[in-house]
Amino acid sequence: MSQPATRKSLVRIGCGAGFWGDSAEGPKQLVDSGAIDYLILDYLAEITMSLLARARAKDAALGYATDLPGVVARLAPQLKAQGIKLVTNAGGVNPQACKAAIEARLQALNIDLKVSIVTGDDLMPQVDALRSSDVREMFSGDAFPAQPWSANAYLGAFPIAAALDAGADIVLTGRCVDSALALGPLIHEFDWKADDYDLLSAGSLAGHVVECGAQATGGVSTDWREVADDWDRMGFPIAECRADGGFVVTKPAGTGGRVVVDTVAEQIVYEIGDPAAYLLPDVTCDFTNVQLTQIGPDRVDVRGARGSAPTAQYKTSTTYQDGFRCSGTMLIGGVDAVAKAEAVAAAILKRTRRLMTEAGFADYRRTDVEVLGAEANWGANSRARGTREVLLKIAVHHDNAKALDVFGREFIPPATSMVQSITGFSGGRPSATPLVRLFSCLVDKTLVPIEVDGRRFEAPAVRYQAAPAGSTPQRATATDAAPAVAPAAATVPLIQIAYGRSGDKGDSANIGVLARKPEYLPLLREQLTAAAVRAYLAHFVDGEVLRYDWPGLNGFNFLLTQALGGGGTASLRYDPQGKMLAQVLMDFPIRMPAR
Amino acid sequence: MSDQDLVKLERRAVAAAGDGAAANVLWITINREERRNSLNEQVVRTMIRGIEQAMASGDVRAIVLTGAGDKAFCAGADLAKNAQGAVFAVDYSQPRSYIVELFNCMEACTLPIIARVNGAAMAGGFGILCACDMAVAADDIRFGTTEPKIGMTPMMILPYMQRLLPPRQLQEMCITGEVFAAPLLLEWGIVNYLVPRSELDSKLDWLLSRVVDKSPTALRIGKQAFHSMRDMNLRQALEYAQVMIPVMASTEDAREGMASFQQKRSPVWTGR
Repeated sequence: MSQPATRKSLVRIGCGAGFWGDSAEGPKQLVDSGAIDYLILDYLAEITMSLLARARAKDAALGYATDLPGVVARLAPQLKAQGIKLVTNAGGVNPQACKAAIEARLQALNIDLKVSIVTGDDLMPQVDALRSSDVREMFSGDAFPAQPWSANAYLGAFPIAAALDAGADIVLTGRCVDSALALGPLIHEFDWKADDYDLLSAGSLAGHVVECGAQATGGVSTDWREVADDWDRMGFPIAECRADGGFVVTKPAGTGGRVVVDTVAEQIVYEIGDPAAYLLPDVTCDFTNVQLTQIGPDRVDVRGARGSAPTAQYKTSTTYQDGFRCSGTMLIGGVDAVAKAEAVAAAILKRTRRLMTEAGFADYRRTDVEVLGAEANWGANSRARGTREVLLKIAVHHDNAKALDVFGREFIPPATSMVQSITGFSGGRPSATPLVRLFSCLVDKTLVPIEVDGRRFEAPAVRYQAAPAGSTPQRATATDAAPAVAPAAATVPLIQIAYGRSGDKGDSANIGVLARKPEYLPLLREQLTAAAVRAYLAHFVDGEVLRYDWPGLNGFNFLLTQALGGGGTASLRYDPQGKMLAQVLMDFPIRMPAR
Repeated sequence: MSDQDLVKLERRAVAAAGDGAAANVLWITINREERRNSLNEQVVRTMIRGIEQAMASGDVRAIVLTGAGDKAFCAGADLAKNAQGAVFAVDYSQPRSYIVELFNCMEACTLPIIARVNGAAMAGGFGILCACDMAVAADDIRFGTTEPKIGMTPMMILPYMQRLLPPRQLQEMCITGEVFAAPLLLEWGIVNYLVPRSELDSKLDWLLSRVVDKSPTALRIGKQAFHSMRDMNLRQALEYAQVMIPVMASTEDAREGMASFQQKRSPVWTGR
């Protein structure tokens, strides 16, 4: 044990990667700044686990984020000299192999850093038991897949804290909730207990804010012009955390970006569901009364997170193959470009369906046509039907990869047989790739044995709660009539009085919308109802729209169920993760009261 | 045991007063609780290395010197039989003491060094306390120079004791070797604050928060002036001062400080 003689008063956590493939600048910038105690790197998106599982199946030494050993080797001298600890989920489905690769690099450098691993999230050994327990998909109610590619539980922060308590310099995990990468170090440093729910919630919020890297420092913010000049040198986020749970969001001096109340608020609302009951393995978070204060240039103080007991289950993600997908794009231009693209798409689908039938294949399971440039994402509210240049996207789904060869072969011939101007096939014929679906379900925590460095980890006992109450959202389903819109003297696009950010959670989309001034909140409450949003985005939403109040941030979070065409890689959409939905909604017309 | 274990060098963040901006502080913790955090050559050389690294790092703003546990701050030289690198084992052909090297290093240090007096400060440990720039102590500790009890008298630490202690008290310590209770530390001006043990770290944080929000340049020039002037006569000191005034005023931080005052905003220090 290397417990500190005294507890630190401030612990600084920098996040240098929001996803596998994020800029290599991040970790280096944060370490060079001398302004962090912990470096966290988030590498695992929902679908990454299935790709890593496939990699491990081919080579037992793979299955982790292979960038990491190089990153560690470059930074190791500074990590050692400054005493910075690294916590990352780069272990993927093979933390052991990741540890071995890192230790080999460290040994070559003659730098002594202790690497620890957290395992047990991998549920592949338990899938038969899960299937026979008749566990159901959380949202669709589907049965457990026959042949999963990967199955992982989202673990919490206490195993990470245990590894740090035992003296780890580098902690590698597989699947855990992203925020645990930050909460683990805070539990370790501040000795937070398993029933310090407000503190665990606050630490999770710190993790949630920084886990997406530069999204917390002005990246993807609604008011993009304020940051655009800095995009080439964006700063990565640092949370300066106190033992009382409060923290300050900032970034290294001399870097670009913008840390203000708006940019931090936008990241807080990102992909949150019910802000009064954000379920994590260690705590049920209530972020509805979080308070943000600008306390200095690029410094925002965050406090007010509340927490209650967690539930007795882990959320788990299982991936499995559901046939194949194939998609292609082509550029079409000229007068009537939109109509031409629609006609070409219809002809390609009609032709390939006939050829598939002749070859004895079944019909497509799903098809998706988007005329990009004609504001396909705006549905009936498109204002670009007259544009003269569009990108036609066609994506199809079939059980048989051979059937999709027909689609691949017939995708390019329209260049001579249909309309003029078709171009843009530099990538060649589109080919079929496996369509990977996500199966989310809840699994009793007792069924998930966790190990830290191969030793059984006993989670601290807490009294679980069955079903957190959460808040009562306003609801709208497809059967609700679209709200009557009264004529108004003046309407403005939503973006003038609000800002926001959208993202996914499986097949559900989240859109956080925050009023630019508190006095605009009543306008939003009255006009931007769940029914109004359901109607505005009717072309996307098959499920319902739920509007959650967010009083602390002067806004709402909209949860749109069955809104992403299956979500992740199962969706045939060009925007399968709903990244654009907030921008689509920002044009929603708001009637302004007469002055 | 590696020197890493004997003395822990650890960077920690502290929030500055005002906007709460985080700044690095190097904690040098003598980690020999079982030997009452006593000194030997390896301990002292690691302390020196820590101070040098902190100065070279460019982003450490202050140094905290303390001992592990709550019994001893530092008990002075390790007098155990067969102690490794004992303080009094001097080769007469090279009569240099590493303790003096440590004092020279602290003298030359451009960063404020604050003693966190967590336990007994005895003999050489008391000397190190005297050599620090500021000190916060727990109110239940004891201090003294016990050399007279073993047939010696404080020698290497005497220059620092002379610069800090009233002469009568100094002589009492050196002649009687008595051990004194914490309240006298404050009475004799040896520490800045004496607080209940439970408040030691919060008081230290409070003090650090008022150090790290100041210009590193000003602190550097100030420490240099303090150590230089201390051994000058009045005339030399005034001459030094009037030469240093334009030097100080021309630094980036001094200009920033004056500009921020006029513009009624918080200064942003570059340390230049």
